[in-house]
Order: sequence, then structure tokens, then C-alpha cells
Amino acid sequence: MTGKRTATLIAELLVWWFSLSVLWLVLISTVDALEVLAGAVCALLAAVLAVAARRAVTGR
Amino acid sequence: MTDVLVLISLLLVAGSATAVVAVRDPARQALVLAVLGLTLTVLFTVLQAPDVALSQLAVGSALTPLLILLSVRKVRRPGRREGGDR
Amino acid sequence: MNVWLVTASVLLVAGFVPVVWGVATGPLGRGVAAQNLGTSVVCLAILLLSQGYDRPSYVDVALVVAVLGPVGTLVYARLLADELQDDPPHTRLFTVSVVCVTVPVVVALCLAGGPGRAAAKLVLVGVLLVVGNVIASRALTGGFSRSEVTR
Repeated sequence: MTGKRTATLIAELLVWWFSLSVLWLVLISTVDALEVLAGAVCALLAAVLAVAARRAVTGR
Repeated sequence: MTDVLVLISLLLVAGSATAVVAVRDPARQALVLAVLGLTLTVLFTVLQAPDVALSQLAVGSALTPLLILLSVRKVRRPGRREGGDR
Repeated sequence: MNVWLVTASVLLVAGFVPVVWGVATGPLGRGVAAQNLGTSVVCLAILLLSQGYDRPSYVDVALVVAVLGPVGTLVYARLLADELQDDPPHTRLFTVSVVCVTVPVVVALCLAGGPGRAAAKLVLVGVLLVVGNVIASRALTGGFSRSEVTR
């Protein structure tokens, strides 16, 4: 895997992680440290799955 | 006065349940079952049980119609098209 | 019995009784369009109920309706594509009316609740509802009917 492809992969992962974390923070009722941590972990997992799904669907 | 809401939801549930029984074709019955699931969701929310409404929604809106339609398709397919393939 | 609960009751009676009637009688295309309209009516009614009962947790039920309702309609659009092909349902009027009712309801609820994350959540539910309705209507009126099923 060339350097450019890994860079785009990591950039896409970060974009997904950021948007899903923002979505989590909008949807929960109270914001404290534990919620933020749980949201970050779930958003990271979901971001990995989303990147994989998008690659699978667009055939890249 | 919130009894009016409970009454409306119960009447909607009764109406859609009667419609489920009155409709004969299985594909259309799956459609009316989805509508019945929606009315039950409203009823559970009005009765202050949102978690039950969530479970009802998860099962009745996508899963039950999918199961019924897939079964109908499986059962009907050999007799539907004579000699032709899809 | 405050104004939100009254609005929810009016919305349920005026919106859902035609849905039940339309899904039980008439051609299949009208039934699927009625189911699509029904999910939008239920989502808006539950949003109003959450404000009327002063329970913010009911917005989560409306969020799940806004997501799973169009999924159900897409199930029908995919699996009933043969029957719907000869008589595509007319969904334009339903979609326009859903958008026309969603925007004032969401705006009124956001104004009543005050700014903050709760208002953002309401706007998100409204956007999901409208987008889901548009996507499901588009799929019903011809997205699946041509190439995929007859192959």
C-alpha cells in the first residue's frame, strides 16, 4: 500500500470518527467524561466499519 | 383529559387490526401489519412505555414484513412463472 | 391536556385514519405510499407527545421511527417491485405534505425547548424524516422497477 493511499485511508477514518462523535454528543442526554469516552470508542469502531463498507460498496 | 389520546390510539389499533383480518392477500396483509405495528408504537408511547414502543418498532416495522414477504415469495415462486426464468 | 397533546391528537386523527383506510383498500401502490406517509405521521406525533408529556427521552423513539420507517418502505419497494411496476404509486402529494407539516412542527418544538443540543437533536430527527421519506418515495416510483428485479 503506497503512502498516499494510507494517508487517504487515515484521513477518511478521522473524518468518519469526528462526524460520528459529534452525532453521539448530539444524541445523548447528559455529557460527562464517561459518556465522551464511550462515544469516542464506539465512534472509532463505527468509523472503521464505515470505511470498510464504503470501500466495499464503491469497489475501490 | 389525556384519556382522549389513549382512546384515539386504541381506536386506531382496533381499526388497523380489523383491517389486517379483513385483507386477504398475504402481500397486502404484510403491509397492513406494518401499519398495525406503527399504531401499537403510538399506543405504547401514549401509555408512557417508550422502551416497549422501541421494541415494537424494531420488530414490527422492518422485520415482520420482511419475513412475511420473503415467505410469500418462496411459496409462490414455483407456480408463478410457467416455464420462464427470472 | 396542553396544546402539544391536542396537536398530537389532531395529527393522529387527521393523518393516520386516511393511512389505515388507504392501506386496506385500493391498489397496492396506494397502500405502500400510505405506509410511507404513516411512518412520517407517527414520527411527528411522537415528537409532539415528547414535548406534551415533558419527557425528552421520547425523542429517541421518534428518531428510531425516522430511521426504521423508510427502511420498511424500502423493503416493500424491493420485494413488491413486480406488482408495483404496472401501477406506480403517486407519492408526490404525500411527500410535499410531509415536508409542509414537518417544518413548522420542528421549528415550533425547537422554539419551545430552547437552544442547545436538544434542539439540534430535533432538527436531526426532522431532517432524517424528510430525507427518508424522499428516498422511500423515489424508490417506490421507479427506482427498483426497471433493471434489478427482472434480471
